[in-house]
Amino acid sequence: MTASHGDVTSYVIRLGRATDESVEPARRDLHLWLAASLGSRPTPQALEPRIATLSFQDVHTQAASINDLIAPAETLPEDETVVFDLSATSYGLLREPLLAHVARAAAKTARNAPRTVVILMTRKPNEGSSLLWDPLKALEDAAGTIVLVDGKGATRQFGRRLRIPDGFREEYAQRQAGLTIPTRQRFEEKLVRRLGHFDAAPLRGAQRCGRFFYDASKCVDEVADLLAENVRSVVDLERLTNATLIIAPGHATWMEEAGLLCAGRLGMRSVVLPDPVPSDMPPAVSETCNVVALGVVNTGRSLGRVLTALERWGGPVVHAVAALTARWPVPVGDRDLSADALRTIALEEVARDDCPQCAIGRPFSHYDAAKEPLVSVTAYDFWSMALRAPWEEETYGPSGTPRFERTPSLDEVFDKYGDWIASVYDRLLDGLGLSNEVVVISPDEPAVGQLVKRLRARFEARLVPIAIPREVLDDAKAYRHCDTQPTVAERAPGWQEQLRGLESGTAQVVTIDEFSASGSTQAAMARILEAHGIRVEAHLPFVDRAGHQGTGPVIGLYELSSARR
Amino acid sequence: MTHHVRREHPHDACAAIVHYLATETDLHKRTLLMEDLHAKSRSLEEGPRQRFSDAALATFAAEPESQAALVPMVDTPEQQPVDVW
Repeated sequence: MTASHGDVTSYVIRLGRATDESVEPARRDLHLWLAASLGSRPTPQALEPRIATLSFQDVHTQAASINDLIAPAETLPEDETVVFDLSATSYGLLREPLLAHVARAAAKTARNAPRTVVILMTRKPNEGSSLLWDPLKALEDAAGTIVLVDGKGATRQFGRRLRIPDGFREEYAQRQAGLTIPTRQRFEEKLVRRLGHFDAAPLRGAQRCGRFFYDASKCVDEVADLLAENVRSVVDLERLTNATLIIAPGHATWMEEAGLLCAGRLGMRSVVLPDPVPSDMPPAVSETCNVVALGVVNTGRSLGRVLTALERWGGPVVHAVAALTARWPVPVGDRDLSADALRTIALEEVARDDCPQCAIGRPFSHYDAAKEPLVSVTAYDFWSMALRAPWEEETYGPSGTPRFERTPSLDEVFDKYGDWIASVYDRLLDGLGLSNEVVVISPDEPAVGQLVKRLRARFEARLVPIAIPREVLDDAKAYRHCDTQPTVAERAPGWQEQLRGLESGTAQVVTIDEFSASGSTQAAMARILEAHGIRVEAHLPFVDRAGHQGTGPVIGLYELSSARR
Repeated sequence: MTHHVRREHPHDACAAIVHYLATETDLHKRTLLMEDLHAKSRSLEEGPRQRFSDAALATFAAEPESQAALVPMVDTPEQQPVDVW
């Protein structure tokens, strides 16, 4: 591969399918600004960042293939600035072999020429265990420089030293903030409020039933970051060095990992307290400063037991923080103690005798979603969501077909319950053997767009969405591959480029819609995909109202016999 | 690829739908609930099916004007779904 001989060459290294080929203008501007700030020329020429995409399978088994996607060092000008941007991918999705290969490529680029190589990551890898460091640390006498920049703009240099301009950190953080979804938002999007029939007895012996159960297992990283931020806002750095984080996960199994990550990020000692709290004091408990971190606070009794044990052991507590709390303020009894939570929750609990779900004999839901036997939406939950949503006239859909007179606003259903619906889709795709990475094709319409947004928040880079405009679907019979002059497609070339990217690959493709009412939209999508030679694994509408009509397998999360006529 | 998806037992689905019929007063929504009950009860045996049918009918007792929208619980060739969501 030959490189473009400009002042700056940049790569956005992504995981997933190579079907989304666009780079945000703000990211391109960031790369130019980096080259101007750290490179050899103050005004580098405009560049078009290249996208180097590795599939999730490759990142595990063939991470070396990244070398085929980036220009060899010997083809680059001697004063080039090269940016390896890994900040577009969540740190948790990156794998050590990939980091090792990027570090080697960076080292090779900077070793014998005065080039500047900038590696962008959302977070610096663990100093003791990551494979990233060795190739970089071996660059003491290099002619060039490697600058590693984390998400907040903190830098670390290897090789020839550069002067980092004043205000670099602040400006980088500001520019990066415009590109990345804030931690709080990611936490909110990935937290799942599961809908079901949850028995409170196994958790705390109460004869009560809950309508919701909150599962943060998909946002452990975000919980850890927010906990760390919360603790840091209360406990000063000097005290933190001698403090212990007392992690009380209780039944929130995700809290142990989140707590340990939080302690690691703050440089605190940590101890995970089992439930029930042991009688003997664990050795790691500090005699001067402890912070208690819990998963979920409901009545406050578990928190009370932890605090009582610490009082008995002589371990002073300066702050308690829960990831989730059903009570506000967080109940700490009459103790003079600062307490906080990342988020308040509503469990909608009722006494067993008043529980409508018990009254109709609905089985209890599993607390562990993986053990839930149903991979669909139950009638109780479907109607609960549909009847709570406003009902309105259908305003869009296939042309030439009658509109439904009244329909529940699925836009609103996806807005309120989309996190949970996405988690059901996740299990469905897993059951179909499509869990690794999947391309989801849908009409470009509001409600299904909202659904895809929720799916993307859950799947992150594992899911590539492609939205086909309605006018193209309406004219699907006339659709031709773009090599033969498409008619309407020129209006939205992005989706068509994405489809072209799928033609020669082995991507797993499904189609999706908010409901399938006659099978016509699915048939239109199938026709267009067929024109590109793309095989569709299944059509997965949220509600199948057409009784499996359509091309190939149709699996709705809920089946409702009410076809469009 | 396996296409089998485990769904709830029709008995549980019918019980849930009758639960909502007991409190829902909107005619359009009731009609669709009845359609759903009709479809879900098809695979039940005659006894349970009849009990759900009776329970559904009882929810109409307070609203005689709603009877007109009632979808029969018995499959007949001329039975057609009602054109509401």
